[in-house]
Amino acid sequence: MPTELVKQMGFGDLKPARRKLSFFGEHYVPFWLVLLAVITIAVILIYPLIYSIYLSFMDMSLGRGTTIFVGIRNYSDILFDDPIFRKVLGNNMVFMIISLTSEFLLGFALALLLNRPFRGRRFVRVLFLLPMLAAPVLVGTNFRWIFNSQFGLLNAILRVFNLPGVAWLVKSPWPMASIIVAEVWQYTPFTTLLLLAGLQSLPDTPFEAAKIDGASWWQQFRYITLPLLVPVISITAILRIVDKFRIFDIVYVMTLGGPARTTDLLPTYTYEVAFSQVRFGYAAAISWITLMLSLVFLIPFIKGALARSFD
Amino acid sequence: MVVLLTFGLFTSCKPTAPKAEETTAATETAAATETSAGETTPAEKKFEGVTIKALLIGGPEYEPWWAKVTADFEQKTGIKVKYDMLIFEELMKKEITLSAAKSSEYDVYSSHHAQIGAFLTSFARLNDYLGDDVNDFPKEQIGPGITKEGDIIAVPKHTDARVMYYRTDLFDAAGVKPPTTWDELIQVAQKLNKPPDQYGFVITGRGDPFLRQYSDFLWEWGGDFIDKDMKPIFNSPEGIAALQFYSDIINKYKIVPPDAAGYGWEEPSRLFAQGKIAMVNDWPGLLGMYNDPKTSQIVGKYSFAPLPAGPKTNITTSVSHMLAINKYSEQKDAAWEFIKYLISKDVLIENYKFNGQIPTRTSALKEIVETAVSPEKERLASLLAAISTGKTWPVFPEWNEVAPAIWNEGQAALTQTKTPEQALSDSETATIKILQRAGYIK
Amino acid sequence: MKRRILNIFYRILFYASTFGLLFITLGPIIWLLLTSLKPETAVFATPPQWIPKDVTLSNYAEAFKQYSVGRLFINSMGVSLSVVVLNVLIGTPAGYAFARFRFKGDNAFFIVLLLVRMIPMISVLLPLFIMFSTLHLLDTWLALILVHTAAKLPVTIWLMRGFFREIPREIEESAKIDGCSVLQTLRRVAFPLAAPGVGAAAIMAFIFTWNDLLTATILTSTMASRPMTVGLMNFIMQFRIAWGPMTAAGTLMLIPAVVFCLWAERYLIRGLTFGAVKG
Repeated sequence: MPTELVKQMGFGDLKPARRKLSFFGEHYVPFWLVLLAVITIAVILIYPLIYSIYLSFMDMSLGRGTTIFVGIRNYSDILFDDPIFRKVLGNNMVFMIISLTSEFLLGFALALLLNRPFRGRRFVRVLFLLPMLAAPVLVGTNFRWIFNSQFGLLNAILRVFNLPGVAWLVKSPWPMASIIVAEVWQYTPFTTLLLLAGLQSLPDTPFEAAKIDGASWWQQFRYITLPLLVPVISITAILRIVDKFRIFDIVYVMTLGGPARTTDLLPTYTYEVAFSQVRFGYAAAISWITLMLSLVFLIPFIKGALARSFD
Repeated sequence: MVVLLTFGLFTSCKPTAPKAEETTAATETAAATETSAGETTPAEKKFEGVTIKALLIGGPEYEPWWAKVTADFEQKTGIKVKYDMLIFEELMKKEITLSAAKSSEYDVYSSHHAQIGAFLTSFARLNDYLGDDVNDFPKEQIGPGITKEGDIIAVPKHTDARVMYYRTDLFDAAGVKPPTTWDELIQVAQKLNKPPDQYGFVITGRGDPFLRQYSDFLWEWGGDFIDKDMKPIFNSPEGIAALQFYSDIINKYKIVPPDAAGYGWEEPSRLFAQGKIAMVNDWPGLLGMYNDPKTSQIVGKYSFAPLPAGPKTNITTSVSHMLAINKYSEQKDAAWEFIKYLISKDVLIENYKFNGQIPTRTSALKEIVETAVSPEKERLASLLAAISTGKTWPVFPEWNEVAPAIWNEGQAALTQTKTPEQALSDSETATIKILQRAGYIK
Repeated sequence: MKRRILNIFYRILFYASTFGLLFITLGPIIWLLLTSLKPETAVFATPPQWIPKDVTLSNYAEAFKQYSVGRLFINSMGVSLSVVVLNVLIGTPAGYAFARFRFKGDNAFFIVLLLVRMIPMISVLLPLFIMFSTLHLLDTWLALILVHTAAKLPVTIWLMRGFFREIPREIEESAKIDGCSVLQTLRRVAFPLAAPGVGAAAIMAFIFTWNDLLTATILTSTMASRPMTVGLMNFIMQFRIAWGPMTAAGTLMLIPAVVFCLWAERYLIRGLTFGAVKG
């Protein structure tokens, strides 16, 4: 039987045929379980969501005390008539691609490292998670000083090696590099954690079978580990991508989006529009466009995240 | 943005008055003989038992005074003030949110020249409360609190301006005196410039701090931001020259640390406190940090001078902290009693003695100046030189959009990714668009 | 022989890279810790003092006395722990349901959850404020707990779904054969096996609530509910950053996060036992 064969190969069970869900009885339970979660979320966030969408079609000027309906003008302005938005979007793309790749490469390496048993592993694992535990605002301030050209730790280390110091937060292209470093430093543990948990949950049998068949480490990794981890990798990628469009504290504290908006990202720009320029309608529109944009980048990963690993 | 005035010869919560002994005696006699312009005689306790809520500016510089003055106020009038404090950034965010939500939670708000354009329709009208007392406030300082329809929506309490702090030890050793103009400053700074351990000067470069500094240059070079017809005029020969000079300080004369173009308020102050800078234009609030051995290496090694003048004028930034009543408050009368108390002449003088904040009210300021003694006298003199000619940004709601347009382009000029001409031209384009959209110009 | 040398080489490489990465990872944190023990002038000394010359606890004293760090801590802790508990209680069953059952619109629901997660908080801050203001829930733990639970649930559900998937069905099948209902299967069989996932989800929920700044700024005003992150902002004053007490408070903030991590991390280990069962 095909299923027996697959099982023997150690790829786990095939999922049985689709269960039809009848409306009552035991099969109703999962529906309720999900509903509870959905209701919680909906009750709290429905009103704010609707209001936010409503605001995005308004021109709200607090100083003038007016809220005027402007239809899609906010959206069209943002997309076609706002050079700042375009610049900020470009920055965000660069930021996202570089930091995401780094986080994944490093995170995977770390997860693989930590997956092997060695002495003190538990302790070391928590140590590697530490950066994620610090508040972003703290990380941002910390790095702001580490990168300072006069007092900073980094330049001090460079000077020890007789290398010239660099104005990390001012001289292009280092400001962008600096915030990427801060972000990768802080959130690689996130990737590591999820990938590690995924690695830990992998069944042993496929690997044992593969070893018996003489597969190398790399072959095991490529043909067993990676495919089995597709759901976890996809979820992690999705969560991280989404966060790249929400990062705020670190940039705000380190560079304030400068110099000259070279490190301004979508969330910091939105914040400026909302609380400095005090234009809530426009800010709401920017955040909704941001959301739609981030959706675009998620598409490649959604299939993987929804996949059932043993199908 | 924020301009905190902190006069702290203390770092903990214990208040220390500047030369309290000398000035107190003088003030008491003065108070006994003259009639105060502001009401400080105890109001009738007609509001006995009322409680009002205030959202006030926080931070260790302010908190002790709020504690004291609210206790005194309750004793005198029976009105209990429950107050919350937030530091400036958070305060502004919270007030914006509260106003947008039309909340009536607070009766009294701390406010400030910066961003007041956002609150023009959220604060209550104070004209009737204030009455003729409005004349006891300098126009430049109370002006930002007046809408174009003539409604006074905020009153100034204390005023801030910058002075030049300079290292007396370094100046004496080099045999130089504090500069009086910017050109002199360049020369003096170059003499004292010994990078990378010591720089002659230091300056801000980012965001609101950049714009405050650029405002000084712009006005001193004879330019301005907006004319009376709401047209932007900063993209002018004067504006360009001012920005060029600003950029030259960093890039041509190199008398400041090389990454100054990214500095906010924190870096220049910190660097000066660490003894790395020969002179800095800074706010009075830094006195606490400069005088505390825990945070400063230069205790006793510095003094004050007025800010340097530009080729055309010596007009610089001076801003006031203000107080306002929430338009949606249900206890406006009681709220006004509190504000009235805070800006009354005697209480302002007491405020000054408590933490050195310079009262905006003309009569109070006059009295302080008359009774000051050294070294406070010199400090006051430097401060007042700036305050008396002080100016602030135009006040209209959309200024909050214009400001980032200018400071972002301006910073590009400082980092030399754009020429000053290009930077100002781009700012002007953005500003025109903003003003057109707001309907001020065609 | 060659094999042994290769092995030793790999081992050295392994330990070297681990230590190297550890150094980079911990460097800034150790710097933070060291800074908190220095008096403030020493913080900006050049060249930097690697080892503090005068070690002092005054920063911590100041943090507690002047900045009421104790109360901030309690607020943060109360809210974060509640959010974790709620997330596990509500999110785990939901994740299980998504993992094991197909029903109409399940993928759609899932995407909706994702969308919820993606909502930029900035866009909902003002309406959230208005909503809680009307309910008179401003400046309360409850408001923060509700918002954070709702905001973290999508991630929890996603994670749990992913981890439940990893569990081969045969274990649950045998439970069913033994007569367990869906919920019982979940509780006794699936849940313990997905423990690494629960650990990861709990850590996530805790950390992101513990470290949140923006939402708390808007929804809190006084010490009644202000968490440590908002309190930290008070150290970043307009003209100076009070590095001393701030690094002290920052270090203090790290401790519960670390402790919580140590506790939840244990569940990551459970994956090993899973291997034993499976084998």
